[in-house]
Amino acid sequence: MHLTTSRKFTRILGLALVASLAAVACGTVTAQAATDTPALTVGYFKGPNPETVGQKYGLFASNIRFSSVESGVTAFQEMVGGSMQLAGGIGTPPLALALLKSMPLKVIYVEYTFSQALVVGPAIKGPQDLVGKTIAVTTGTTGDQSFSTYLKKNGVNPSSVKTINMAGTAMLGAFKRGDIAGGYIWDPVRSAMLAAGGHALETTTPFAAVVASEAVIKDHPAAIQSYVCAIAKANDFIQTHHQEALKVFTALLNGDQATAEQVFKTREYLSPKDAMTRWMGNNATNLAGAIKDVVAWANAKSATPMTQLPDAHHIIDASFVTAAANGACK
Amino acid sequence: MNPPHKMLPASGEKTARTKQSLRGRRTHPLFFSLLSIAGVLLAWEALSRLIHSPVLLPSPSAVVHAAIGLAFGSFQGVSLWDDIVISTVRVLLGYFIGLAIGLLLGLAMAMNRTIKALVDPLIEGLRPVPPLAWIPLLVIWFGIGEFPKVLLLVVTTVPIVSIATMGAVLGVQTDMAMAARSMGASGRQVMLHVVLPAALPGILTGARIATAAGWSSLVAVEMIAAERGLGWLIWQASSYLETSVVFVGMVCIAAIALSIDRLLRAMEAKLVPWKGKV
Repeated sequence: MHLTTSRKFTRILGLALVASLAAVACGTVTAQAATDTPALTVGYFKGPNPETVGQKYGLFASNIRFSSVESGVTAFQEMVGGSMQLAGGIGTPPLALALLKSMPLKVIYVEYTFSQALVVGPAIKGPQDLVGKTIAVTTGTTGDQSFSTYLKKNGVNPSSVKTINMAGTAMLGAFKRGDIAGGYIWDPVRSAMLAAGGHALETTTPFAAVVASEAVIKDHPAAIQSYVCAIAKANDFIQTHHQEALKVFTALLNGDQATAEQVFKTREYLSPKDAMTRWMGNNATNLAGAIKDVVAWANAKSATPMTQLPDAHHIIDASFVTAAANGACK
Repeated sequence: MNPPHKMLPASGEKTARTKQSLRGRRTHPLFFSLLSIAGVLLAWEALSRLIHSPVLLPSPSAVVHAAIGLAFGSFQGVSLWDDIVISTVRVLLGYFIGLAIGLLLGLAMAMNRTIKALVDPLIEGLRPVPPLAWIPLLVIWFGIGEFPKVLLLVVTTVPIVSIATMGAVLGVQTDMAMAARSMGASGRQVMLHVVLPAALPGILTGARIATAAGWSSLVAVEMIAAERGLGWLIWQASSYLETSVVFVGMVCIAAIALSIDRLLRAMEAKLVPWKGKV
């Protein structure tokens, strides 16, 4: 009697499960068929960028949902897991890692450039003074890669400098306490460390890109084109509505308008034409070259380094920016 | 001629034999443990082949391959053995300091109502705060050296041990202590020979739970500007999309934590052989 009831219950449960799965599948198909604007989740950094300004001033379509991320790598992990389809503000190290790991992702827009610096205390005058000192970087970021390149370029043995992993906010506190001699970091921490008595040994201007998953590019090219156009519109808004953008940046920095203005000065928001001219035109030669330089560094950090490095062109799709630069956003 | 009971067993004896034969056929629990591990490994291998993304889910064989690579080589210049040693030292140091403080606090709270009223709200308030939340404060207050790392492990251990100790001591039946008192035992003797032995099983359970908590806080601890350690390995590997190395770090933590727990269980069996038998 008990067994029969149990079997019946299992059967009902099984049928209910199959029915729910079928309903969900049908619902998804119907929803996708009914609208050509699929729900897209975009990873972004809460910072002075087009994603933040665009959200504030309603420049994105209603099918776009933003989700803040901690790092480019975190965004990629979510994209591979399927919970995210696009990500903005991505630097070269995560792109190099994605290329090495054959992740199904493509760079679709170089959206802005930003300034970062190796900020050190007054006692350090040159690269050789770094020997025996502790320098902080955020692992896996442009700061991390740029610091390695700086040491190599200046003939400093990396093992002679104690390099530690630290998030930007912690870096400022550690610098003020004297726990670290400096750090390779971008704004607003860069400005704050300079204000705390530091000086820049080196300043570089890396780029930040928009990355999309290959599956979404294949299935919803119109939605991707529309998103590229929205980013272009947000960048244009930042250039043409300085005060409004500054207001957003100041709010992000808890009312610190001076730093917000400083950040504004060090960033360049690129139109599709700018992105084409500088990075993505001529078969994306410049962009592929920039990624290629970082791939070797990322490969050396890998647990199983590759003997032959992949071609950086594999991770670039310039078609959407090209279309936007040729008037597709009108 | 065989005695009648040999020819025709009594019904009681028959039942006993049937039970014995069933018991003989009963599979050893270790078999089921190994079966469940093998099942998980097989499902994991199948799923990883289906997903085919080493970043999302590396196969168990890829993890073994990464582990071998780390055991005989290094990851970003640091050997796996260095990571294991430094993390074990950190955890044990934080654990033993936390254990000593927790035991003293627990005993004091159980024996003195005023101390309990003073300390208990603080401990209960600190207990739910996750280790990650402490990191910014510890870095601001104590910098990035070893001290804040060990302190975070102490902070994780103290509430567990002190609450377990207080509970165990307060749970000792008062008539036992009163009986000892009536036989002329001093307060010190009652504490040493009656209360502590009776509370020991509860205290040891708290101590065992605290080791696991220490290991589970390790990844947060080694976020504080660490240069090596298993938590550092996990963070670093995650930042470079080396998921198989993340698994190696996790397996190492689980294996060491399990070994320490087995050691504590063995110690428990020696110290309180009556536990679970009453």
